[in-house]
Amino acid sequence: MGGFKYRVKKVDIDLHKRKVEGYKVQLVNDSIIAEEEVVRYAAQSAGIPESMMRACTIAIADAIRFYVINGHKVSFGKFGNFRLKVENTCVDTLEECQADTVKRINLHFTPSTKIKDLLNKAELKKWDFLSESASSEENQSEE
Amino acid sequence: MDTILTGPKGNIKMFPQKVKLNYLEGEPEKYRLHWMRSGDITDEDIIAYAAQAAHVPEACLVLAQDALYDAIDFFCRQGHAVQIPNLGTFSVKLNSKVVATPKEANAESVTQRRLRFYPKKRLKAACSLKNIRINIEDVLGLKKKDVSRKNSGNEE
Repeated sequence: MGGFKYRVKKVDIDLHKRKVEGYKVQLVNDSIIAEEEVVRYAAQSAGIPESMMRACTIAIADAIRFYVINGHKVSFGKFGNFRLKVENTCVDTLEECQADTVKRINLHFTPSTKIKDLLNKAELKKWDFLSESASSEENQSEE
Repeated sequence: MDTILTGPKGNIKMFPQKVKLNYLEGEPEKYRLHWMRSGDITDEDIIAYAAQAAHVPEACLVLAQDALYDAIDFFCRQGHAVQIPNLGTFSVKLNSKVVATPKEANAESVTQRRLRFYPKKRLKAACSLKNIRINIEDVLGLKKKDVSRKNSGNEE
């Protein structure tokens, strides 16, 4: 079930100060599944009303936010962990080691090994734009 | 620029740590702040907090959480990016080698498949330096200080 579609993209790379043409694989994102659609799908599979599903999702997201900003490492089911990532600079003496040395704080997500395995097992197909458009035209004519 | 309401400010603990910079000449010893993890939070803790905060039955939250995981799993495995309310977007990215000809660019040239997370603006703002208070803990004999970027150095 499922699988990723990829296309081949032409790229320019610098090889010893010389521009060389190359090709690489790029994922074709079918689309972005909007919040409403995700909530609708989840509500159907859980057998609860959409409004309740939305309220639960927001409550879970707020709980994650609360724990993350208070310095906890939060596990997000089988997907991975959320935690804060602090970027700071080194100083010469202990006295200089103050909050000023912190440059940036970011939210960091680490996927779990389980989800990495699932992604690695998913099928990778080449995106055939021509055949896809032809099949969609056929479907339209049948309708 | 619009102000983003982030809710209550966060609080993290950090402690000074001695580090040896091996990559520099003479391997100098320096100090830097290290993040002190407050603890590990599991799904059960999340459910308990959410049930109390939103006045929703725990059973309902457990069902919702499982369904949410299934939805992300289902859509991500088809290559879609998935938006979660108040949290952010999960999407799959491919890393691949650059090859000389289009024929060589196939599934075998893919080196890594990654699940990326892009937080929502509000969540990102809540996790930024402006909205988090840094407490420096006494680990290396340093006096306990409660400092933020604005009033750094003011002892309690």
